[in-house]
Amino acid sequence: MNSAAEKIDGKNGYNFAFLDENAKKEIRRRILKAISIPGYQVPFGSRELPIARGWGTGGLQITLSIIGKSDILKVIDQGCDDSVNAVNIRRFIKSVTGVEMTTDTERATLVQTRHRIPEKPLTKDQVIIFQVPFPEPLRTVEPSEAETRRMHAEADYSRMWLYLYEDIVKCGEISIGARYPVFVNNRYIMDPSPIPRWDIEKLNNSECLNLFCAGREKRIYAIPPRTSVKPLEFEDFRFRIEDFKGNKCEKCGSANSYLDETIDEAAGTRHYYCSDADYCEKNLNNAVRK
Amino acid sequence: MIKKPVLKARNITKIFGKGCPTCLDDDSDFEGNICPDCKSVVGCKNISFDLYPNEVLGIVGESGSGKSTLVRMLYLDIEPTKGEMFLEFDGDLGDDGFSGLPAQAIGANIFSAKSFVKRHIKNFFFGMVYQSAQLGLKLDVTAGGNIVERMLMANNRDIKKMRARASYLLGKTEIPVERMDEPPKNFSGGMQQRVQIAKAISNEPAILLLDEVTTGLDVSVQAKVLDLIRTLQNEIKVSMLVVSHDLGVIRLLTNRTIVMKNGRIIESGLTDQILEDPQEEYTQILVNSAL
Ligand SMILES: Nc1ncnc2c1ncn2[C@@H]1O[C@H](COP(=O)(O)OP(=O)(O)OP(=O)(O)O)[C@@H](O)[C@H]1O
Ligand SMILES: [Mg+2]
Ligand SMILES: [Zn+2]
Repeated sequence: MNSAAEKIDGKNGYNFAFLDENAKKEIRRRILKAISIPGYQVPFGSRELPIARGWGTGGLQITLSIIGKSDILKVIDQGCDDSVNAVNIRRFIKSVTGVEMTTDTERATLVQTRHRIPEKPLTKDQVIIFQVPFPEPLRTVEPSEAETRRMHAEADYSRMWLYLYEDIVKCGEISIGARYPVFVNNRYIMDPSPIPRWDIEKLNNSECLNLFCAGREKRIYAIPPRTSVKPLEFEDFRFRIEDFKGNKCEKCGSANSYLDETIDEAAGTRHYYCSDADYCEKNLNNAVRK
Repeated sequence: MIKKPVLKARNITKIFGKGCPTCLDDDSDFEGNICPDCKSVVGCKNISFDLYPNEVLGIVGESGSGKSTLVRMLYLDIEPTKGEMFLEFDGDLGDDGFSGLPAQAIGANIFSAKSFVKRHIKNFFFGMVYQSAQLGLKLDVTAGGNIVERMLMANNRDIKKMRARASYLLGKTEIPVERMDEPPKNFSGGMQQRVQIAKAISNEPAILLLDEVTTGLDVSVQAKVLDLIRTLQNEIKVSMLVVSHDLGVIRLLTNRTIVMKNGRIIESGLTDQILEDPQEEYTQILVNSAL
């Protein structure tokens, strides 16, 4: 990753990885703090970037602060490497660092993502960076920032539980889809970013380092490797992942991956495909080879 | 056997305003509840008393005499300007063990305890019924949810069990169980007070604080609420502090009474004695005007 020698060697007249060394150092300090207090939101001074806030500037700042010349980067948006958003971010990072880009999950040393975690479990040599739109999981039940901070400090989470209870009374189940709140290290309630419930279990005891950053709200948080991450659930109303009701990916045939549902209006039919494009392609290639 | 007090209040003073030596000095004396020197409002001054296990202690006094201010300090809603509160509990712990005191609270002045100790005491040691249901309930959250919240605080995570307990408590307080999943904003004032009571007793607190529970209710509804409190007092071992400016309520519920005026205790003793033979002129006027 970053080293002193890389300082001046930037592209297009910028410092390597666009941010100046002081900015990177500050962000890295915040990251270290976030890693040492799993699930705790660390404020930081968000920088201006040539990408509009709300388009992954949080994740981008983390990536730019920790990327080094030997890194290989993968950028995905909802599991897909070729969406406009992912392509723009990749192009920008390439132009200011020159590092190698990949769509191959296994080859990547850094993965910057929006809304998904790759199906292939990440290893201890990989870091995943999440773009976070809303870092505060308690905002649904409490509008005041001072009060949510107090609630976190005292682990005073009964109002969040009450929210889930009321949800069950009204809907017969917990109706939260993406952004399902989790307990990190049995201490802090954390917003895992808008990943589907399907991905939540990948955060539990993961081998890789998970970094989260909200650019607009200026918060960094982390789940270090091998940290307990538990979705909020009741003894008699368990957390459940999405049910694809036996449907399989129509491209690769996988029944073990998170599926995107598309509806063909004209034909009136539903179609299912892997959301993780790289996983789907590899699965397909393997099947062909056999 | 002489029991130890479950709550000891010592020299509790609350000054609204900046305060000065005149109003803060325990020995100072002046008429009224406005400090003659700094013009601060004296909410409570130098309040000391003991509350014993299973006792029902009454607090009476005219409007503005500092009753609510006192109760809200005891419930740790507002901080006193000075003074101390000690809690003692040697009864059985509830099933969850939560009605006990955290170690940090034993023998310590609760007012200067850490915030998590205070919150624990507030949630598990005390139950509070406020004068207005708006303060005591989340009116938009279901009646069941209001009660369940305190069980959630005690780390209960079994929906079926919590709902069973909530419906038991609603039954006790005569709220139709079918209305458990309705928000109390749809309920009458008397029903709201009974939901508050159900909520307050859900964690089997050691001390129940009742601030004007019957004020603003119809006489027939008042009688029901008072009946409920008396039944509870017989059924569950709980000490109560009953605040009222209604001497009928005090007579019906309490063994001992404190009379407050201008933020100070001016008389205290057995309720019967105070009502039959008040010593202070102020109490005489209170008693006579109530007849
Ligand atoms: N937040 C506050 N700021 C300033 N003064 C206050 C505040 N709260 C209460 N007071 C004053 O403290 C005094 C005691 O008020 P408190 O509400 O305790 O009386 P009370 O005995 O409960 O009256 P009531 O019978 O009408 O409920 C009153 O003079 C009141 O105006
Ligand atoms: Mg009052
Ligand atoms: Zn597929």
